[in-house]
Amino acid sequence: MNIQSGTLRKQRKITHRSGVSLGTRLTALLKFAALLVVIALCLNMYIYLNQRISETDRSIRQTVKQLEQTNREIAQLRIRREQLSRWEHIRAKIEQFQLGLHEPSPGQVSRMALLSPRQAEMIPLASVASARSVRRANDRHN
Amino acid sequence: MQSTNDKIRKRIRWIIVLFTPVAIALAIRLYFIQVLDHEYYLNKARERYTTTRVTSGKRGEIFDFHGNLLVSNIPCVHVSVDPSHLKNDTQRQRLSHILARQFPETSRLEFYQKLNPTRQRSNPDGEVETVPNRYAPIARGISLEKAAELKEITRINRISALFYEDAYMRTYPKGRLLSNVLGFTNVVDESDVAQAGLEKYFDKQMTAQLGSETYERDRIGRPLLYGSHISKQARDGRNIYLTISEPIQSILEEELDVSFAEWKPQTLYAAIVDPKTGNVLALAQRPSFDPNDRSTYTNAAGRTRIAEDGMEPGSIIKPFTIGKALDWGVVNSETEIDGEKGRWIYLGKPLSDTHDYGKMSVEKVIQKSSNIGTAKIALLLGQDKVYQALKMFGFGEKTNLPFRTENRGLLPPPSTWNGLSITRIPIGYSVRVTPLQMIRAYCALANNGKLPQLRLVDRVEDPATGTVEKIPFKAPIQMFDHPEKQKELIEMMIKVTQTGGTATAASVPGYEVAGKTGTSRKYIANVGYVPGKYFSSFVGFVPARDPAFVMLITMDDPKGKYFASTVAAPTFRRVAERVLRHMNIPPDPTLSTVNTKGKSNI
Repeated sequence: MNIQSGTLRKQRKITHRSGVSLGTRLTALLKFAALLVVIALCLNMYIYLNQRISETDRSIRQTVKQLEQTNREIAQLRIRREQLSRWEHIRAKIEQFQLGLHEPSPGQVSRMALLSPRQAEMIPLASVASARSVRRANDRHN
Repeated sequence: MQSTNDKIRKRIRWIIVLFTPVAIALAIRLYFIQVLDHEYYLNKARERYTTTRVTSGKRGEIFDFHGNLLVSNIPCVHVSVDPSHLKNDTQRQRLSHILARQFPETSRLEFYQKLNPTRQRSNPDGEVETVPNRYAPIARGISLEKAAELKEITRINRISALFYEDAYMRTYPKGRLLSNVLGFTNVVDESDVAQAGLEKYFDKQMTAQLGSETYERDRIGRPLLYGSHISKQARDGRNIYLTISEPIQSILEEELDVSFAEWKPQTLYAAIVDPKTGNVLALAQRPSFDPNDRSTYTNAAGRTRIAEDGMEPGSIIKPFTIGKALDWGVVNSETEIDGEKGRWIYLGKPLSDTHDYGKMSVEKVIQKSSNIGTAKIALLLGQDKVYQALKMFGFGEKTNLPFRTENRGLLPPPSTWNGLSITRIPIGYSVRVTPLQMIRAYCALANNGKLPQLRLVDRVEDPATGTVEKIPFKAPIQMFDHPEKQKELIEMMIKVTQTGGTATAASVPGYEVAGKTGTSRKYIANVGYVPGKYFSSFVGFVPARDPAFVMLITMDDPKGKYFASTVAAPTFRRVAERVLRHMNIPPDPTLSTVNTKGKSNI
């Protein structure tokens, strides 16, 4: 017997085809197609998520950079404020605008604490602070 | 004849024989690579896709007691250029023109040369070769506004060769204020190096710790969000909070400027201290410098001379010997001392007073600042007691304020004294004292006889954790065995600023001022006493019986007039008036509040 391997495979295929119905074939095809769709969806999802990660990454980077810039601007403004609040500068402005300011006499200035509305509710109107300032004013007049 | 199956088997066998060793070799190789040399190859790969970047924190800042900023770091930008990005000579010319307009200190031609797309370089063989020019610095430390303006101009001109590096630069927002104490830093190799003052003393605490960041990067060097990331956080330097009060410091410096312009002394020293706590509220000297403008720096202006310079203090030292003589019961306020008609010869050397005070009480000795009276009280005490009295008040010892080069002064031990020393040291000669030592000693008189430890730094803050380390107070030392004697001495010192005293110009309307004037001849080593040159000082405290502060004013070689009562006392008065207002210390209603000496400076 001289059976070649190629001939055997051909015969097996013919036998196989003849035994499978069209419906089965279509079902298999559909299953295969569905599998492909799922794979494609997964792939797309993967690409989409990667893209979102990159976008988020970029946006985080931009925000961090903006934050750094804002912090630098705040630092600069803080120093500017300190430069403007220096007495030499204030004095120059007083002279420039000829403001008739003079230093208060001791006792003319009284300090009071500013309270939040909630704190103010908790403390009665005739509070210790105001009573003290009134007392101090009276002492001064006396 | 071989059958086909045999042939197939034979082929399969050959294939097995051929491929098995290859597979084994591959497996062995894989074992070497993946297992044995794993670390080596992993590191090699990491080197290619990871980057390590050194990060730096900010140098610590210095604040006054209330948190007003005195030294900080200002954001700035360093600008550089990559000339290879310039497309043609037209762009090169245009950019050099733009840069010359933005930075007028450099000419257009210089910028044009900097923008040369090639440069000469010597290779290891010593041959000069031409290579592309990829970097040239343009400007360092420019403001954010200027950098933004430059960016906008280059964007409009479509030039993209400039690069901007964010950086910080040391800045002193209050300019000259307290500059001698704060010191300054220089930039060496991109980092701040402390040169003087508190910047140098607290350099270790204020220097930021470097950090590092190792991350996986993408093709253009950006860190991958999902890659591994190792970082060691950089730490900002510690912040120093001083005991200085910026408003009081401003008042003092402003009035010093007025006196400096009026009397043109070689040097002017001033300090204000809270005697109860020892907190230094203000510390100033003239000349000074602006640390933001180094052209104003000179050696004389830059040193912390109030801690470094010693002087023969003159009469301002008298209350210490007299105070202890009262305390030890050697004299009392009524003890009569012969004024020798204003001129007394002791061991063949004359000692003079400005007037003949006749027979005078100890109180009058202080009020009139009698040299003869003080010398006679010292003789009653004896040299060991005089030395002990001055030593107790801290003369000849450092104040231990945070200055690297504080002068100890000179209080010679009695074994080295000659016969005249006992009459000269108590009146402020043959002894060298720094202004800081003197004000510390006066704090003891003002603080019920208790000598406080001076403090310049109140607390140190770690900005990373927010923890604050308070510099502890040291308990003051009682100088008087009989505290009522200290009160007697204060009463005598109040008379100094009242009618008949030597320092009526130091009186502040509405307040009692206790103090002492001192005018001493200037001694220069290897030269001797220089004719016409004097130190003029006034030290006092106010209100006298419950002092808010002690203040020292010393002028080295004032021009025109030199008596302390004329040059130093009015400066004291002007500063004291304003500081009392600032501190909201009410005047004594029983005293006259009429200002008879003219208006204060504002």
